[in-house]
Amino acid sequence: MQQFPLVPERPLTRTQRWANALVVAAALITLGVGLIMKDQLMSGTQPFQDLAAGILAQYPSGWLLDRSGGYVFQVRDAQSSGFHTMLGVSILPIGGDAKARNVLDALTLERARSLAAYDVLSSAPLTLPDGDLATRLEYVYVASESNPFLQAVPTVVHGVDVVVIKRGQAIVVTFRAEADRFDKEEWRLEQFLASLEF
Amino acid sequence: MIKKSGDWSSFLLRSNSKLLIAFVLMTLAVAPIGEALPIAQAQTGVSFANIIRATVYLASQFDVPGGQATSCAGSGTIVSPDGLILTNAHNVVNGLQCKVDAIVVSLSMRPNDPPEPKYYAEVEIYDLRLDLAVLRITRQIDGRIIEPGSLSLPFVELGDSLTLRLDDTVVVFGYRDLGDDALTLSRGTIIGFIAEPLGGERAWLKTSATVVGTMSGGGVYNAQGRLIGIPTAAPSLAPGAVLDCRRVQDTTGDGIVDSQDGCIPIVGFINSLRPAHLARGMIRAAQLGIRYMGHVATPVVEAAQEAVTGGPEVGAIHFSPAVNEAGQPTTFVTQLPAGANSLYLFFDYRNMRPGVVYELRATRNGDSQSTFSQSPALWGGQTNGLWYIGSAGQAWQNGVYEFTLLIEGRAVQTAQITIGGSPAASPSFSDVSFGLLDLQGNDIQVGYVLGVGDIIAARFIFRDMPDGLPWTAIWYYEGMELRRDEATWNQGVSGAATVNIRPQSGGFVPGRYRLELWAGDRLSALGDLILAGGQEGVFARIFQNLRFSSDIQAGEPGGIVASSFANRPAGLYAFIDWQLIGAGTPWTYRWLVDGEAFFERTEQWAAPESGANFWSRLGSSLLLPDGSYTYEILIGGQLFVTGSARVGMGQLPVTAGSRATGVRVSGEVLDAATQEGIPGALVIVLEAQYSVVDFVWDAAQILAMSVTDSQGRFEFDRLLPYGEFYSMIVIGERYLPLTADGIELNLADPELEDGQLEFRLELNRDLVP
Repeated sequence: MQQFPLVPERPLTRTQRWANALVVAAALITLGVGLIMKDQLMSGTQPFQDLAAGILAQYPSGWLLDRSGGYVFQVRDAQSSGFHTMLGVSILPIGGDAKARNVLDALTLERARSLAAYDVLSSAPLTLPDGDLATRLEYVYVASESNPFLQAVPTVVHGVDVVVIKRGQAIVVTFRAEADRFDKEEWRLEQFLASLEF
Repeated sequence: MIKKSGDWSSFLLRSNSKLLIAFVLMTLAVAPIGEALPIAQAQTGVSFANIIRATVYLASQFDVPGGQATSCAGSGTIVSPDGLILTNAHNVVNGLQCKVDAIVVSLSMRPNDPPEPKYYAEVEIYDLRLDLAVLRITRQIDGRIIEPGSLSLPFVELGDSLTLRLDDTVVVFGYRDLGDDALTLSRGTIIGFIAEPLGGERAWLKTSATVVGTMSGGGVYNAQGRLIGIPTAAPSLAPGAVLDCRRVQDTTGDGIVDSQDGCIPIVGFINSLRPAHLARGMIRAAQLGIRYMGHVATPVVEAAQEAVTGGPEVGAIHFSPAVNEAGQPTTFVTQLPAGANSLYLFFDYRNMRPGVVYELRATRNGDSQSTFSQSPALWGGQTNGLWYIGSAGQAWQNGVYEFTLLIEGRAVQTAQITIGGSPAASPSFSDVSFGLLDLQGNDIQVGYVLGVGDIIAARFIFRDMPDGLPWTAIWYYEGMELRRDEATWNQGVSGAATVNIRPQSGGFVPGRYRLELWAGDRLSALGDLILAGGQEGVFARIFQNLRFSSDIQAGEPGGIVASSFANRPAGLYAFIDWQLIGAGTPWTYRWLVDGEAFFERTEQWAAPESGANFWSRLGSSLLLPDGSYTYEILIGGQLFVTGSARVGMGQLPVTAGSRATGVRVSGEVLDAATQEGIPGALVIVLEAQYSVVDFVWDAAQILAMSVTDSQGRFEFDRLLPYGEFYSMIVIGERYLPLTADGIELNLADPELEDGQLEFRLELNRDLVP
């Protein structure tokens, strides 16, 4: 085996030390900027407008937009695992004497028949960012796989309905998220309400 | 890397990450389900897997102390993605053969396992005489209501049962036993057709396939995988009837299962199939949400039972080689020559009611003849009248045939006929037809439905009649003898002759008339005639003044009275005036939408002889769909009333996505490193016109979407059409996305078997937090 004599390592020069530090700093800054950009992208929004329904809103970028059901629109975070966090707006025709409580009761009755373990957590008045008065209803239910041929553990879903009575109709903003992630995701609802224009 | 059956270079792979190259493995695998498929099935892209999933086990439940028990069990087939199920009525209609408080729908989750309860269903529409019902899945098994249109279940399409031929191959799907066994399939061929007044020449199909009792209500498929028939047999519950009734549960709540507890009736083997074309209208009405309100609201069974007093009675069986256009025998014979290929059994019946079970057993030289036997079935006729069971277009081998007719499991008539030898010359009458004459003896009308007039003439053919032979002509009105003419024959050997009848006093009254012609002491021919309505030219004038309205007010047309309804009404009324219809006269009424009949019933007239504003009502759960609605009335098979009303656009809306052909795509999404399933991954297939770069997270661009289950398995809830190029996107949280364009699904793909593709998709972890 060939042997080499031990030679004492030469100390780095000042320039080399600065260069190393700058490389590390640049890498950290790049990573940080990347993460910030990613975060911005993830929290970014894009506009939705429905002139027929008279609604303008900003919804999270990258969420799946669906206008095919009996609602004005729905968006879902389809890229997340588990229950897909959902935001939606629907409009219900109501009588001239109807109050928000009537709408909430109707929603509760209808959901209690179709959603498993549906239960109302709370109901309280709410003032929207534009000053409109609304009512906020919080509820939970258990969501399960709709395809009977797939096996999936049901998920507890935490939902919020914000009901506004306007121009003889009830506008219902719905937000639903997996119960475990509800607190972390609720800002989406606040952001959405802040952007919502009737 | 994407791999699909050795041809993967055409796939374009992209990755959204700059850090890693996406690694993709897409392997096709075939998951055989049930027995191996016939080659023809695979070549035509038939998905047996789809049929298996669409075949359901049905258990009718009734309330017992402490829970529910099963009263009847059978099979059914999902015929639309939103959960319509076609099955037999006798298993699911409350009060007929079963107590039904709820109907549990079980699905085959895995091919070799028994079905698992998943849903509750309700009867949407039924026809006791056809023994068919359409159910709608309405609730999850935990009781939650299912929103209309929210289901997307595997389903099958109806085929054309009118084009079936003898020896065509068929496959029967259904559940044997009481849901303890996996789905069963039985192969066979079409061995015959049975003719009856209800359903015509193809009222029943006969098959060589072995079909057990609980497969009743299941599905029979042709080589193209289309539903062409429903195995149909109903057990008789009458005391003394041979019956397989299984006690499996404590229905009395006394803690023990004994003879006091209810049992589940099961019929024996089935070889009779109701052709699918007889169910098409019912399915159409259920899909459109249209109801015939007159009968949905009225329990037909109970009403009919109240009207009938006494037990069922059946007259002697007579044989005829043919049936005329009015459903009547051409002549009666006691022997047919070799080579005969059609034979019909005629008999009169009385006091029959919906739900009565009848059966015909045939033997040839003492051996059972399943081809010409009729499995136990619900009665398809009226309370009284003339019925026939027969078959045409298939060879009858030489021999002595004996037919036994059973009502509620009890033999009520037996008759023999010999087929073979050369044609025998025996005196006979045949081809009775009727005409109405004026007082001068001139023809006014001809046919089997005539206006009420002065003289009825009956013309008939005679053959091989020797002079001096005694013969008799007997006229009946509603079963009562009116006149009997006995004479000695002197009109020659062969030819045509006429007999007339005039009313003894006053005029004829409307109703049913019959002429019997006896040659010697043998009934040789008969003809039935209906007198109804007044005389108007060459036709009887029975109905007039058909009009449509959106409502009814004090028994008269109300709301909008028109033939066009721009705003869709919730209901549609057809009003009609009538004259001179005798009680008990059979009449047929039907509704059509865009030219296709969706509701048809034959009943015996129960209204006054003449009157105005007889109405028939269509209803809907919401508003009637756009379309052209036609109301028709027939008597004796002759059309007397037809009229249409336009609703909305006057044409049914086009329904997309209702095809049941294509590829069933399923598979699993795995972690590439650990090979473990990834739960919650999203698998998207875009509409064919979009590629991955076009996708902007709009649901309108998505053809099918699935989220993987706890095992990482996914399955699209619809079949992907053949012959298209698709783009696929797979996304898992904390995994690099996987995308591919140009995935082709075509019938020639050697990896495609059983109309099913199984994908294996591997995702790489995203190392960026």
